[in-house]
Amino acid sequence: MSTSSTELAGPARARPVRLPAAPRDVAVVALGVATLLAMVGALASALLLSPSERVEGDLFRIFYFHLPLALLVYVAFFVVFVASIVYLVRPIRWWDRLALASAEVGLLFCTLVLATGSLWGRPVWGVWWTWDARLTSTLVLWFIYLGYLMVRAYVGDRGRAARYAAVLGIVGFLDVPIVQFSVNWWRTLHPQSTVTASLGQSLPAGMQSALILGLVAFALLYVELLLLRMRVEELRDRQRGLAERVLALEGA
Amino acid sequence: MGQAGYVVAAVFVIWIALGAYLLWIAGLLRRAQRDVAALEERLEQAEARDRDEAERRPDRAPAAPAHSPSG
Repeated sequence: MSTSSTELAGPARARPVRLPAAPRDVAVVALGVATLLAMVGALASALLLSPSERVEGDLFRIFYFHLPLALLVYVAFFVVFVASIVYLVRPIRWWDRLALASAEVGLLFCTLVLATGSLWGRPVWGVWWTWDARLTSTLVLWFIYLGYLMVRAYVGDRGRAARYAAVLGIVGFLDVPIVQFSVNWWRTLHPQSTVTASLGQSLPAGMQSALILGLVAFALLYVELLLLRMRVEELRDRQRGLAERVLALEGA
Repeated sequence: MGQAGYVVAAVFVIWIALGAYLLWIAGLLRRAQRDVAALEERLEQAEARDRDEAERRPDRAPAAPAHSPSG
């Protein structure tokens, strides 16, 4: 990834040459280093620097991962929603790649939200899982985007798969507001919406900085994973194009 | 499991999952880059063959009437 291969024009054209890393690749590496540093900082801040919570004690530290991941699930699926709409209006492959990458990273983060929530819920509620409105709607969201990736994997024709997935990416996003407002609409074990409250002044300074650092670290990670995943799809597209040209030349 | 155990388990799950995903993407990336490089080389060879054939064809063209039964 650090180097890119290209061909020269003219007599030297026959040999592909290795050029210095493209600016985009350098940016991805730099972002990767920044992400790693931010993740280590967030971990240290959450586990060592932030104070214990009065009621839940050390368990509350899970919150510094659980909430940023949950917020980024919303962001990831919103990106899928927007990219899907744009792709259906103007079928440019870049938007499809963006939607696919964001759906995959969003699904990974959603899995981690469910896992960390379960690990937090067991000692606090006494159960690993309960059919609470927030938990159930999040699980439904997880299944929707799992289905989204399955559509892409199992529909043979690539263009058709992209269109079907785009429709699912738009319809599936309807579950996000249900997840967000489920704690207000139904009586739930899950606490009321903590998003605005926690980012506001309701947390002590040490906790607030740990939360913000966690948000920054996971946001950077989301962007980094998105770029890497999109790069894989870009290379696969290039691979398909090259394979077609090779077949045409060798078949002729 | 004590409170710290649940926190450690959560951190462990997050880092293992993210690490595994990163490794998987790195594998996909490496394979895709290798496949693209191999195809570029094949394309080059095919284009070179194509050029050679195109260069040889005009040489043969004047010789063709000599072998022609009608000539």
